[in-house]
Amino acid sequence: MFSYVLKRFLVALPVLWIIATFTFLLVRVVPGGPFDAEKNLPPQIIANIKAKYHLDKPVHEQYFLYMERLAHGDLGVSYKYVNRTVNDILLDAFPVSLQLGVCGLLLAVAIGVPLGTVAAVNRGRFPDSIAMFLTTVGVSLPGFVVGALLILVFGLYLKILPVALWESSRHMILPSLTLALGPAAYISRLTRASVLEVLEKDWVRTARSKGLSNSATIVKHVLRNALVPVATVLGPLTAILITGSFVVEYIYAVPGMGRFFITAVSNRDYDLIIGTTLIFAVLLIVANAVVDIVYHMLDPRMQTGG
Amino acid sequence: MPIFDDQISASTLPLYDHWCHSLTFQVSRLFHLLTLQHRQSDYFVKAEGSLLSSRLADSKIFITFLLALITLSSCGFKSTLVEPNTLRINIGAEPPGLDWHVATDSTSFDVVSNIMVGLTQYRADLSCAPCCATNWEVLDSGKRYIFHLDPKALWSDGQSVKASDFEYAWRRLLDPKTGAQYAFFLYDVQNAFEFNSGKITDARLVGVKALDEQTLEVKLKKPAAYFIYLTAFCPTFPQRKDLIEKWGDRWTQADHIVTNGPFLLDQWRHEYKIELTCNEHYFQGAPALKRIKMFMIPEQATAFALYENNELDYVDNRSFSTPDLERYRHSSEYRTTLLLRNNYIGFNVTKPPFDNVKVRQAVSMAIDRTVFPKIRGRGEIPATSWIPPGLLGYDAKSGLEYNPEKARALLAEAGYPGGNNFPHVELLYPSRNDVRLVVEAVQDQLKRNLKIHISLQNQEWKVYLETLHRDSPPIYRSSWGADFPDPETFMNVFTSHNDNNSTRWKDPHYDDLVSRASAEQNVEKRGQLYEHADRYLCREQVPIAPVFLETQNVMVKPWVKGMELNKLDIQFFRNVSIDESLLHGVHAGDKGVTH
Amino acid sequence: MQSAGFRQIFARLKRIPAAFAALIVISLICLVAVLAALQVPLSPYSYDQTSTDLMLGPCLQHLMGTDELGRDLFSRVVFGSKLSISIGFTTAFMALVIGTTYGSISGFAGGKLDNLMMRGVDVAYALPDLLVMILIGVLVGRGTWGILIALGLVSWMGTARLVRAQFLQLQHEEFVEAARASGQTGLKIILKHLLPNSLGPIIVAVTFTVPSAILSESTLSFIGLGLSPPACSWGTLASDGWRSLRGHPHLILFPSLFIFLTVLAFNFVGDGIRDALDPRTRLPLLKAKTKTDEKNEAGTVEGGEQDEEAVAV
Repeated sequence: MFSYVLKRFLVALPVLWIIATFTFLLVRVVPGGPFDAEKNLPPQIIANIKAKYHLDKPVHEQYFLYMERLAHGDLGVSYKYVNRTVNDILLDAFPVSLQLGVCGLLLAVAIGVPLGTVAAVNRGRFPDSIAMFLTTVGVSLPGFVVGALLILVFGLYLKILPVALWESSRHMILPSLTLALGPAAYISRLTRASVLEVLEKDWVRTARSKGLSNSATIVKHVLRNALVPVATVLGPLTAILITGSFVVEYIYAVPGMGRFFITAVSNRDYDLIIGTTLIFAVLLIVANAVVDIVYHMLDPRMQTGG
Repeated sequence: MPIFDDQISASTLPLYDHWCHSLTFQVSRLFHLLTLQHRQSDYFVKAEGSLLSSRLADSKIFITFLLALITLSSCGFKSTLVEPNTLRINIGAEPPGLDWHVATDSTSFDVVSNIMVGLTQYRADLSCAPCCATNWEVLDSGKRYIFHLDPKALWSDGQSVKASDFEYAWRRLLDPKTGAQYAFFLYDVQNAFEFNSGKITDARLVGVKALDEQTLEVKLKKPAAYFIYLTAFCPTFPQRKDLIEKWGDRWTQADHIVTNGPFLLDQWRHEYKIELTCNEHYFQGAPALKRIKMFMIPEQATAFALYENNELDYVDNRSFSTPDLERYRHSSEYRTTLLLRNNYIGFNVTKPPFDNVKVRQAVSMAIDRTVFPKIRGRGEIPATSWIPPGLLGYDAKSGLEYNPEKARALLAEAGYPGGNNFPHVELLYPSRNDVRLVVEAVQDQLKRNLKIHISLQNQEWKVYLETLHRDSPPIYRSSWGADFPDPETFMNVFTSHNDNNSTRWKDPHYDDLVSRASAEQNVEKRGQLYEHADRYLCREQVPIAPVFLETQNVMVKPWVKGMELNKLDIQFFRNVSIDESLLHGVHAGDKGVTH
Repeated sequence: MQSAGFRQIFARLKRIPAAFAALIVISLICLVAVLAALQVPLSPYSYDQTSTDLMLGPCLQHLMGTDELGRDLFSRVVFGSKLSISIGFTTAFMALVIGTTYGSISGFAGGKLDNLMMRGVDVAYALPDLLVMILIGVLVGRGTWGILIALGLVSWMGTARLVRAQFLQLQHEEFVEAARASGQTGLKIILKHLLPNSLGPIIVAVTFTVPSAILSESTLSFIGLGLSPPACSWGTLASDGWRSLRGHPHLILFPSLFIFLTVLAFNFVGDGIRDALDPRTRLPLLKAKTKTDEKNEAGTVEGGEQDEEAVAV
């Protein structure tokens, strides 16, 4: 078991290294540099700046410099946000994205699990169709449209929730909700499928025959077991929520990490691009690894390669 | 962990703690659960079931707590009162840095203009008023300036602003090691260019010297009539040598920075907001505002919704989309001003067919500039001359008027009658919606008036800049914003050796006119020289065809007094105050905007 | 699982009302898209610079209103259907081709090559979608090709994993052993035996790729990296309409409605195909239920969904 975890960890390292190298080269291939500005700088000023950031050295030298710093955990400096290191920038932004992601996840679970259960228990009948329809609706609109509707209804017409910004816990509701609808749909389908599977098991019938009422049966026995596959899915979902929330952060002016994907590339802020990519990669690899480890533990017979 | 600001009420804190505690508890139980090694699935399910039941029960409690937390924090007072004496604005993006030697972004300048002052300061009409310098003398027919500093000028830590602070700051700006992008600002100073390009290494040779604590002497290479304007601009503000050496790169952090302006940097929450507080000891008198909150909201529609909801007090172009402008154009809260930012169509005069001056003139004459305010909808001012109105040397007739027949005649003379045989050219522009509208209009006009078909090519911003710099296409769109309120900043762009001259047009007559004008001390003569140069540029040689000037459009809440707009779009708030009597009973969330 | 012939699958599909209705909706939309390519009521691109019909709401002359340049929104939406649907299908096709090729090689080869290729998939998964799309957009330019390449490059991984899992499962079936024993080349085995039997999950995956591509394209347009104007797809229309949400909601509501219906329809069809393929799924009967039927209902299990969800992760 421990060896499996170790193996996964060791495999992850080269993957991260490949990603770092690939991104490093890719951003330097893209035309336009970090210091191209509307008001062209005299060449000597550009030369001064490039020297300061080692951009005048040949690419392989820059690469070794970068990798050396990376090995020490130093993700580099930002060219646009002068005097701030990438570590600082990401340390400021990451907890916010994390909060948003976790809230979104909790909301997704809070919406998805009950919906899925209701659907499964009433399979084939009206509540099933309604519940499944509702969840599909959640994934059928682009994120910014959902955000726009929520802001319009709750913020501007009903005026019960703040429109944007990240000042208090009330401000977390609309962004988390916008983020949660997609995963909620996914979780509800999964819950429905696994609850259905569990409902057919013998021991559920045993519980029923013991005289437990329907809802008690569901809650006490069925749900416990049905949630296991759902729990294993939360891993990768969390990673995606945490970093894939650019649109939500942009619409609601939340100071998270998502915006760096866009702004860093537009600004050609090389180190920040690689840093953000690596954080995302680490999260996703960790999440995937957790899934695989959990599968492995649940069923050691499954010896797939990945 | 204090992620939020101060707004979690006392009643919710214990719940929050419990939530965090129970979360970690859940996670540890989950891990414990998952390390079970049972093989048989049924047995596993049953055993797991019992463990899961208590886990699930806890989860239910935990979810209930979460919902309770959310509900509780949603209750309480429905909305927040608009805060007294606080101005809330949107600056749209994170300032890349507050070191005013290295900053080039307008958001950085928005902040620095309020926390720092220099030798002079701009009034609303952009004339120079004394600030740190109470008066100055212009000697040697404009080649030498002596500034006498105000002994009352103080830094926020109590030390007085000395001439040596300016001397140190200007040397640092020009020091190649600083890598300052605005170093060229001081190139008129003796030896500035040589020092910055590394030809000389001794900073003391640069023509700025502190004669004593209150006197600063500046020697210029040649007379520059506009020089005084540069002293009101951020890159020339003083700096503290002792603090920069002590803190190094971190000297601009809120707890380290020392400034001399009307406001102090209180808090900087990156990518989110900057808070400034009133500097009670500001030497020209404490400002009326107690606090300024500068939010960084990138999305226009969101920022404007916040304004409508009374959560922002002032919004400008950054938060004001054109549809919203249409809606509120007649509101009493709406104001607008011309900006010193000129949009133009540029020609690469070394590439056919635009190597023929008649073709260039024809194109310039064939564009009806009055369509631009209609299609862009922000009150743009049509422009045919390069120098904007209000500046010295401006003349409405300096450029070519709209005259399609004459344009067609010129095109025929150039060898393309009726647009026949006109080669295929692509007009380059950056990928922005508002720019696209402009170039589409130009394309349409040229098709209708000259019967020539040009196609449009867009590139992402950085790529577009690189293309212009490296090898500009035959025809392109560009714009230029003034660095200071003087025609020099516009006219020297198209001199032969200017890096920003993507037209590749080099004309010694023009260079001569501009350099004479920049040194001329007599205002009238200077104006005539610039006017002459402008006519030469826009009527005779036409390496560019100016199209329109941009505008600043703002909305100001009725309780904000003293907000003045200026043409350089520098946002000062030292004269702004909040009228408390108009604030009574206004809540965030009340119907916002008056019509 | 042995897949039934197409006719049987289609017959089963017809019995799922939601899926069938969705299929009809999709056909209608595709029809509209094709017609749009041939003829639209009013031009969606060019605009009269002197027009004063700006930002009108829905009226008789303009069924869905006009935008800020006076262009008829209805024509633009109809025209946009062509672009959006074709982006969706092309992306799905690219994901299909790349993913299937990759997955079949990996699944068939097994062992070290399989391991290596799956690490490749890991790397591709770990690269953030948005980053790849932005970089491709900058490299290739913001044309349709750029968007298609970018979307295709981020969508192939799921299909690859699916195909590989299928192949690994089928490797040990008897008919494959038989084929190997009879000396058939690897390529032939893949093409004649493995692929046809994996078609089911592949089709389901492809059906779900289309709506995801349409949604990704609209998100890309919103953040400014999508198709450059004047190209209009539903995505660009919706993101253009976002700014006018308060004053003129019709600009965002109509394109969003179309996106919504299309994506919903594809999701239902995908579900339907998945249910139709799974022989264990009971479909709504065509006659009235009797008591014995109900008892039979209680006995079967619908487990196919769960496996697929898990693998897709």
